[in-house]
Amino acid sequence: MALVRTTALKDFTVNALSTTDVSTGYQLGALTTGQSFFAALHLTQQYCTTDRTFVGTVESATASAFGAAATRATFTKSTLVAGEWATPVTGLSTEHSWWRAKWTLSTAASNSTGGAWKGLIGMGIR
Amino acid sequence: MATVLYRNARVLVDGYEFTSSFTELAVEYSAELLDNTVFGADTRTRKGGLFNAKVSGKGFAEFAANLAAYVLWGNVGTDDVVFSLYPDGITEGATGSGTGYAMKGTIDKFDLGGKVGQLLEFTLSVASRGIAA
Repeated sequence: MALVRTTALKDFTVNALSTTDVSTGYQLGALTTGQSFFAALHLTQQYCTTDRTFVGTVESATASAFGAAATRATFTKSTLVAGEWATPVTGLSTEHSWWRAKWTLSTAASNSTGGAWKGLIGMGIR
Repeated sequence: MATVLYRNARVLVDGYEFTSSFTELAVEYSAELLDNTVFGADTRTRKGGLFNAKVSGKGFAEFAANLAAYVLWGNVGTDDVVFSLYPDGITEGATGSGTGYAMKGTIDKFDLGGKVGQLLEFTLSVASRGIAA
């Protein structure tokens, strides 16, 4: 795939993330036959005094409540300033038209607090 | 008309945002046209082929670590660099204005230079890698 038109699910380039949370859910449409799902992460800054990690994902669901959300992309970059292109996915449910970003900050007892991350999570369907 | 005053583009390259370094940005997206004209036709016929994408831009050179000229220079020829470009700012959940374009690419050209008395500029060219889904 050469180029994908993308929508930002979470723009944290200015206001850093420091707690586990999800973004607002957006109804961006479901995949149709032959389409693929793409997602990109830019982790532009990491302030972390411990080895606490950031794990970003993108979820889809059939409704805005995200009652039975499915993970469609998982980013492995966690403590690095880096970019990552998630593995594209095809053949997703045509009923999943709602999308959101989710980020989990490690909660091990030794490093459950501290740290903040800046960056951007975007997705596209094509 | 919902025209766009081109002053709020955002550009992210891997783990860096270089918005404040660039002065020009362009996205080129095209498909090859394959000639499938056969004898008997009176006009050439064509069929859409493979896609191509390219990002080019120009900016002010700054050489400190983590700034554009330093990072981009160091990534010439590196595959799988993630580029995201938002021509009119970033708006979460947007489907129109505030959306962007992203690709995995390879920086195929980084030039540096200018005229005496002017701010030193770099020019950049990035070609999409076209990773299959």
